[in-house]
Amino acid sequence: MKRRIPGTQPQATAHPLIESNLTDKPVSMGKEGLRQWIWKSYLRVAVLPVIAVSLSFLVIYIIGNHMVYRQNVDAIRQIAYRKLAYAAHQEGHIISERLQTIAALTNVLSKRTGAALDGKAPDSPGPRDRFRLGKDGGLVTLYDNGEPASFYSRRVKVGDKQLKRMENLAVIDLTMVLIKTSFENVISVYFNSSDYYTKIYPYVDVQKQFRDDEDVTKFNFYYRADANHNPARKQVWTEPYLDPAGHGWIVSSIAPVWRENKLEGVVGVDISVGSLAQDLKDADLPWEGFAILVSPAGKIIAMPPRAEETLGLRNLPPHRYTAPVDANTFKPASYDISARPQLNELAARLGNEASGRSIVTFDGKRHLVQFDSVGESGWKILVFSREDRVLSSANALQSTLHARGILLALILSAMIGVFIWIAFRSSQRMNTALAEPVSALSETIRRIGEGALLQTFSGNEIREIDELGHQIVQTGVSLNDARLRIRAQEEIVADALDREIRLNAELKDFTRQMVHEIRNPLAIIDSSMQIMLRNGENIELGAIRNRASRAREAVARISEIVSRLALIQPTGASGNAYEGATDLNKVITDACNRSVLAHPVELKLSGSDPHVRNPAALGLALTNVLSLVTSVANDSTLITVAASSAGTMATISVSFTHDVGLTGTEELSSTTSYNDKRLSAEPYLFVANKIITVLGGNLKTERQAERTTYTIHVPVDVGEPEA
Amino acid sequence: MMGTILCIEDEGELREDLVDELRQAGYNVKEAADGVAGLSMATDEGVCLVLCDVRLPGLDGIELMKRLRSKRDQSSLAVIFLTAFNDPEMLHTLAGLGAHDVFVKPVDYDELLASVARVQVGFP
Repeated sequence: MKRRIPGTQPQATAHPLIESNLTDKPVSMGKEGLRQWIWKSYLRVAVLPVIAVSLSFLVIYIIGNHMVYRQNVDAIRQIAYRKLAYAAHQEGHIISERLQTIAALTNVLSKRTGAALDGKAPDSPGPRDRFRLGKDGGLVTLYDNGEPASFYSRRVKVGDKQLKRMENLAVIDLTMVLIKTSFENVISVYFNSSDYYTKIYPYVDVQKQFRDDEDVTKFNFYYRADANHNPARKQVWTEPYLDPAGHGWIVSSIAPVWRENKLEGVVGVDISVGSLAQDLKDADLPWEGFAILVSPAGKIIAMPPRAEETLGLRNLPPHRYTAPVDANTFKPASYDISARPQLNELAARLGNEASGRSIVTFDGKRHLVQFDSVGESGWKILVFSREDRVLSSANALQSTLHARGILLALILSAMIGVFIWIAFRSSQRMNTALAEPVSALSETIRRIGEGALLQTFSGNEIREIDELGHQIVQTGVSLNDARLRIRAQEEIVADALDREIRLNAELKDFTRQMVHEIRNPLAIIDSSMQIMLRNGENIELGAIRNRASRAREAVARISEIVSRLALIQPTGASGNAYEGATDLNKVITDACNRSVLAHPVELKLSGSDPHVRNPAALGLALTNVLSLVTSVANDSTLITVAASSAGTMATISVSFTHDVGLTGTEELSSTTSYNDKRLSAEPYLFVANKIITVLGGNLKTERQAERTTYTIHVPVDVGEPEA
Repeated sequence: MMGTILCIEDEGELREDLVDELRQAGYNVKEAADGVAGLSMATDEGVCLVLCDVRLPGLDGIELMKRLRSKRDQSSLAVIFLTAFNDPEMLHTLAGLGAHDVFVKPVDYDELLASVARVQVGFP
C-alpha cells in the first residue's frame, strides 16, 4: 500500500471521499440552462397564450367584420335593386305615358284619315299651284307654305281621282300639325297610301328626298302595319330605322287605315331616337346609373352617353342624306343586345319576363341591372348601376373596419411586443434572482468537489435557496472536518507505521549485529580446530591448552550473546506476539517481572496511568535496560524503577548502586554505532536507546558517584487508547 | 617469489591464526588490528594482497577498500574479504567493490589458501 505523506497533498486535489464523483461524466451535458428554462416557461405560460388569445380576437374581429360586410352588401344590394326597380318603373312609366299618347294620336290620325278618305274635300283644300304633275306620272309639292307636303310616286298616273283624294285628305292637315306641335319628340307625321301617295308634315322637299318612283309600301313603317304583319289592325311601333324622309334614326308609331277591308294606307308618327336618348340622359337615376331602351327585337333603341361608355357603343350619328333612301335601313347588329356576351342571358329574359334583375360585368366592373316593360310598346327599359358605387357606403365601411383592423393588429403587435419585452425583462430578473444564486451554489459545490471545502455563502432572499446555500456550506465544513480527522488519523497511522518500520529495521540490524558477534567467536573456535587438525602432531601441549582456553572464551562470548538474546525477546503472556496491557504502569510491571529475577525491586509507579503507544517496543527497551542493570549489579542491590507522566510525555527511571565500573555516562544517540560503543556500553543500552529513539523519546544515562540512573522519556496518550 | 599479504583483523586470536596459516603456506604476511593501520600498511612496497575483515575499529573494510581503489597505484590491489555478515546485501556490496573473493566466518583455511593461491598466480 502506498503511503500518503501528510502535508504534500495539493489543496485542489479532490478528496478521496468525493473524488469518485468527479470522474463521472457530468450529467448536465446537453441539458438547457436555468436561464433558457425560465425564458421558455415564460413563453409557454404567458407569451404564447397572450399571442394566441390576441390573434384569436383579431381573427374573430376580421371574420365578424367580413360577415357584417357581407350582410351589409346583401342588404344594400336588395335596397339597390328595389331602388333601381323603382327608377326603371318610373322612367318606363314616363316614356310609356308619352308613347301611349303618341299611339293614341296615331290611332286618331288613322281614324280621321279613314274618315277623310270617305268624306268630302274641304271647302278650301289649298292652292293647286303647290303641286306639279310629272310627265310620266307622279306628283310633287313645290314649296312649303306651312302645310304638309304631298308626293305621288311616278308609278301612278295622277289624275282627278288621285287629286280628289289629295283634296279629301286635306282635312287631316290640322290633326297632323297638332300631333307634331304637341310633342317635341315627334319629328314628323305622315300618311302613306297603298297607291304610293305620301302626305307628310312638317314639309319635306319631296323632289330631293324621295325617288320619283318611290315604293313606300316596301318600307317597314308601312308593311309592319299591313294585314300580314298586323292582323289585329292596331297601332304598332317599328324598330329603329333610318328615316327616308330625312329625319335620321327614328322609331315610328304606325297604324293602318282600313276601308271596307281594304288597306288604304298607313299613318305614322315619327319619334327621333336622339330625343329618346336625351330623355334617358335627363333621367335622374341613383348611383350615377343609366337607362337604355330596348326594342322587342332586342335592338337598343336609345341610350345616354354614360351607356355609350359602358357598352362601348355610340348612338348612331344623324344621317346625312346624300341620296334618297330607297330601302329599309336598320341599326347594325352590334346594337342587338343578344349579340353581346355580357347581355346574352339578359336578352333572353327580356323576351319572357315583364321585369326582373340581373348582374352583368363590363370591363371587370359589376353592374346591377333592373329591367321593366315600357307600357304596351313592347319596349324594355334597362337601368344599370355600378355595384361598387351601389356598395360604396358598405365598401367605405369595410375599408374603415379593415383599416381599424390593421390598426388594431398593429396595436396588438405593439402590445405583444411590449409584453414580450416585459416578460423577457422579468425572466432576466428572475434569472438574476434564481439562476445566478443557483449557478453560484453550483460553483460552490464544484469548488468543494475540487477540495476547497471551506466556502462562504452570503445568503439569499429566497428561503429555499438560502437554506440550500447554508446547507452546502455546512456540508463543506463537515467534509473539511472529516478530512482533517482523516488526515490526523493518516498521520497517526503513518507515524506508527514509520515507527514500526524503523523499529523493525533496528531489530533487523540488531539481529545482524548479534549474528556478527556470534560468528567472530565461532571463527576463533573454528580456526583453532582447523589448526589442530592440520598440525595437531606439531602443536605443543601448552599451545593446545592456550587454544582450548581461547575456545572456551569464545564459547563464553557466544553464551553471553545468546543469553542476552533470550532476555530481550519481546514476548507477552502467550510467549509470542506482545499481548500485554497498554497502560504505562502495567507495561513497567510486566518488564520488571520478566527481567528482574533475583534482585529486590522498588517500583514507584505513576500517579496517572497514561496509555503507551507501542507497549511492546517500550517493554523491550525497558527490558534491555533492566538486563543491563541485572548483569552488572550484585544480587542484593536494590533496583529502583520509577514512573511519572506530565502531559503527553512519560518518564521512566531505572537506578541502582554498584561497585563495578560501568563505563560511559555519555548520552547515546540513535546514530551511534553499536560496534563503536561496545567497549564502553553494553549492547542492551544500544538496543534500548534505538527503540526509545524510534518511539519518539530519548534515553539518558547519569552517574553520580557509584549510583547510575537510566532515564527514559517517551510519548504517551492521555485518555482512551486509539483503536 | 611470492608477494606480501597484509592481514587486517581486529580479533587478535583469529588474526594470529590467519597469519600463521599464511606463513606456513610460504607467504610473507604483514598484519594490522584496525582499518587505519591497515590502510597505511597496504601502501607498503611488496603488498600484493590484502586479507581484510569488514567490521574493523576506526575504519571498516568497505571504506578501506574504497580508499584503496581511489589511489592510482593501489587501484588494482587484490583484496579478499573476511566477514561475519552473511546477508546477501553485504556480499553484493563487497562484490561490487571489486573484491577478489569473500569468505564468511568461520573460514575454511584450505579454501582460503586456495583462493590466495589463485590471486598469487595472477601476480607477476
